[in-house]
Amino acid sequence: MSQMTRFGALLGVQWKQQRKELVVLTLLVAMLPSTILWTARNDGPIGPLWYQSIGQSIGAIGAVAAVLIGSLLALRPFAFDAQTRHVYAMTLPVRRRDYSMFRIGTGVVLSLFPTAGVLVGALVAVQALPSGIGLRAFPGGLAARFLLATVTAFAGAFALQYGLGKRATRWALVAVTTIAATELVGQLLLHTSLTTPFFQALVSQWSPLRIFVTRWTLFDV
Amino acid sequence: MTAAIRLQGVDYRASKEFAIRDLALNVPRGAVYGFLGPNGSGKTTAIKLMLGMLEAEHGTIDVLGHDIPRSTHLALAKVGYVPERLHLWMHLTVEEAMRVHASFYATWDQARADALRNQFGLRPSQPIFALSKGEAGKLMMLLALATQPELLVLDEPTDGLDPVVRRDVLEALVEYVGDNQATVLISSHLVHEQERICDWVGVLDGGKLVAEMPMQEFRSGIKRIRVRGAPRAPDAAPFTLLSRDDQFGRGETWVVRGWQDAHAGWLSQSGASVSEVESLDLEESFVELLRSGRSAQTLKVPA
Repeated sequence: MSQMTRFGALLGVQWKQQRKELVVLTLLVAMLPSTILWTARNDGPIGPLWYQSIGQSIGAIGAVAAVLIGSLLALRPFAFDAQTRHVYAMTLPVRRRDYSMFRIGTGVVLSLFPTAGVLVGALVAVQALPSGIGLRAFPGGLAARFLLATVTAFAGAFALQYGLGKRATRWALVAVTTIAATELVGQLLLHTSLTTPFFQALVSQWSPLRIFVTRWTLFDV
Repeated sequence: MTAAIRLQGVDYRASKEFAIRDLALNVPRGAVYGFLGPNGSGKTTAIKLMLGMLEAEHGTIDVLGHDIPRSTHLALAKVGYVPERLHLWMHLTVEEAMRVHASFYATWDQARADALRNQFGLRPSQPIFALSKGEAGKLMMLLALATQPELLVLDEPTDGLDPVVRRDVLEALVEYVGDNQATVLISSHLVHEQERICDWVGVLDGGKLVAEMPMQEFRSGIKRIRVRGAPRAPDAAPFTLLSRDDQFGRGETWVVRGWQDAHAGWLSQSGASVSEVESLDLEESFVELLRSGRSAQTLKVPA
């Protein structure tokens, strides 16, 4: 049996597991730009700055959606495997590392669906941009950023879940509590943020997490 | 005879309360090996160690000539496994589960799979989450047999199944083994079921292998004898005394292993006489073995 056949079989399994939520999420992210444009029409005069501001909102919400979708694509298959204590996965005649690679591959392939949704939604929204106001639309750039961010979030959640297994939730809670407690202590006792350097390091120039804080916008100069 | 499964000096601590210690086990090729033991004796843990789902702390495990866990995937390609609980992805249908399983096994026999599906009365479009316990057991057996395995590892495969389903599943198993000379390790606490189909038996209790022998020897080698004037400590006896019970002054009842008629002479030299020799059925033999194993463990505890 070729590895591609096995990969295809696992892709089919994950598609059937997650197709409903993927279809809903793809439709949601596709409708997002047009919906934001439409609902923001009464927020003051419509001009270049308005379009730029709305474009940034679309980008920011897109980044949040990418984190959620990427995490979902990593965590849900693990949860399905966990329902049967991973027995089926562990008794398939493949190396553990190959199984992990299959799972990474299926997650990346399935993340293309919501990315296509973002692209189509952005292309539709771009039709609203009047010509001659000095702004350009970047639907392809937004979709590419969305894909990168989704894959990055997927990789993080996958590493956390598959690396730590049942302990992942516990460690994630410990990390969040530690960060929150550190920030609270800093603000109350020292009147400064102790976690800012940590977050700056997380999104530094060489960090893959930088994708979440770079300029996400649909309309720009 | 070479071994299909060989465990040597295997240690594994499952929890603070339970551990497998120094487990040695040999399943001969071509044998139908009954892996007996009460609930919680470590049968499932031992099977998980054999199949690389758990990693032993010490010892060596060899399955079909492959070292576990280093070459687990090579061994698993030749193993059909039926766990005690349904382990398949619930959202798939019967047909989808068969297709996914087939894609992982070069030896998948579609004709056999279809024949078994018809024989078991499974509909291709049935979702797995909607299968009854009996249907789920049949599907797992179908998937295991259709890969044409050299070794079948069955963990309580008929536990909780009604007699009709149990018969169907066991018939399919026996037919496959007869046609293919496959090795089978079948774990169960249903002793009578094992008696019918197994030719080797291993008894596990408290994470230790209490006995391992051909079924014939197990069935005929354990006797209950009534002894009058029994010696207090038959240390040099040519048989193994598993248990002894006083019969209210009317002699003693001994359960012994390795008994032969000539051994009555040894007892008479000690001033005792044997009034009755009775063969035990498998279940009684199993219970006596567990009793003797536990009392031996109890005696080892320092006062």
